[in-house]
Amino acid sequence: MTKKKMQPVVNLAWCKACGLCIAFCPRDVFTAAADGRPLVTRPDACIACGLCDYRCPDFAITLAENKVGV
Amino acid sequence: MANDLRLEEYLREREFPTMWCAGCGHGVTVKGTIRAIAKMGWDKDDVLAVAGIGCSARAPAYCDFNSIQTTHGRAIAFATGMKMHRPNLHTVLLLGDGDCIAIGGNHFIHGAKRNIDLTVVVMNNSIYGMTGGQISPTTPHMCNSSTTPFGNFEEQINLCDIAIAAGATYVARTTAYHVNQMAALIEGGLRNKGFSVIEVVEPCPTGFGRKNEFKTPVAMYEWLRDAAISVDKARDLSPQELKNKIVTGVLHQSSRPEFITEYAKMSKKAQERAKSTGASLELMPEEMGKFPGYSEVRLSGSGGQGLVLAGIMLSEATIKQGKNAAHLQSIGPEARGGTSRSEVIISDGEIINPKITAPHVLLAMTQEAADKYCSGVKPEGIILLDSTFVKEVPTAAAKTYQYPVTEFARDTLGNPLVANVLALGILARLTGKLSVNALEDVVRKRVPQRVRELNIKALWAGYEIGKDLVQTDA
Repeated sequence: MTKKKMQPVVNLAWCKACGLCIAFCPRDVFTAAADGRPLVTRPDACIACGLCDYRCPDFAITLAENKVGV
Repeated sequence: MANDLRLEEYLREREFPTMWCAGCGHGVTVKGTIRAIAKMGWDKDDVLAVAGIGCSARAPAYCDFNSIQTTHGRAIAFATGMKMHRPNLHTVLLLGDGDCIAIGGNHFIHGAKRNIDLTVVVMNNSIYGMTGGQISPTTPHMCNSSTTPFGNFEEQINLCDIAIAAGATYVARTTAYHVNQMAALIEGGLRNKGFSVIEVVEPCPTGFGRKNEFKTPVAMYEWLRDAAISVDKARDLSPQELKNKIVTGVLHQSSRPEFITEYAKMSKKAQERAKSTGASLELMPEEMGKFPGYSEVRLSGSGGQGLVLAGIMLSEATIKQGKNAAHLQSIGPEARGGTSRSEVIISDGEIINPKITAPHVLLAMTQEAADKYCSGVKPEGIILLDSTFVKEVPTAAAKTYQYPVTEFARDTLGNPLVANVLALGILARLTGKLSVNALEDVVRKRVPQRVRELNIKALWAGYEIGKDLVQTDA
């Protein structure tokens, strides 16, 4: 049985580039793009703690199953 | 930990993106509230979200609960009314600090005093954000704002202490950084049957942060992270050491009677008392309603004709019959001779709005009142004109009866002042809506002794006149 692997998905239409997800991710999954919005650059490091989702003031981050990376 | 919550089910996605600034704590707190509600397992249609005015006022608009935005500072007052009407709705208030403790300070105190079952989530961002970053009572000492450029020399208010002192039974504080604690504390408030306050200290990066050397939203969340101290640790610290700290956790929890439960008990007691002392509550067969269920009655004329009292007596008689009644009165500027109007709603079920729209029954005791109100009566309704004063009968779709009510009261009964009760007697027969027995009970209670018998005589005389009017008509 393969283990479910979760990773953050950013809804760029709702994101306002506050940078909270980037700053407070315990595993540095995100990197800031030029406009300050987060790019998921280290999906494999994600431990699916959900804190980026909970802290995102704009409801722009959800955790979804990574179907390709496992 | 994987996230089982399907957040999108709780959002009105058409409203997004939010109108809040980048990094605003409101979104974080709304999410924490949704997580707590989801944890309770409540159907979202059983939840009512209430807000006042300010940036925070948008919060319920983003959540797919029953929601209402109220006037500034009055959210707790509105929520109290709604909770009384629908005690089963889980009522959550999403308030700003201004709404809660400044403009709405007194409602907050009295909500806590009553211990009414509301959960108040205070999104305290230390500032009046929407209006441009002025100081609020929660602005910390010596912090800058647009109205205190050299620092706020006042001490900030501690709304949790006020809630505890006023009698709230669950009081907690957290910050927008501590998201998991936030959801747990809000859940605690939802579980508490009584007045619960959860203060969430939040950043306002735009209004507060930029004036206080927080260069980025992230810097504000770092401040919240570092300033927070748990209530257990805080116990061992001196007030000096606690300065500039944010004490988080459950600050107070107690148990005492809840307002709505107590209200229901008292209501039951009052009903039993009324039953044991009340006289006949039964309807006469011929009085079974012509307008089943719901009807609106307008009694109109001039001041001094006793229409307000007639409205009150009509309402009380209705209630005696086990129905619901609502009464509104409007008196002109002059005590006597001005226009006067008394409006009663009679209903088998609940009365949502006490204002009448198109009456089923109209009594007009002056020409002016007849001219003004006859056309507004429902076509299937009834109009009674006092032909002592109404000489010209306005055209109206409703069935119109005329009788010289005041003249009969003056000449036959010997006192024009009983015209109001006489008219009630006539209406009782014409409408078939009211028990004369119930009216008699009320008249007996309401009218001074020296004219009591005369009024009761007038009531039954009216009833007989009503019979004649109906027969003549047939």
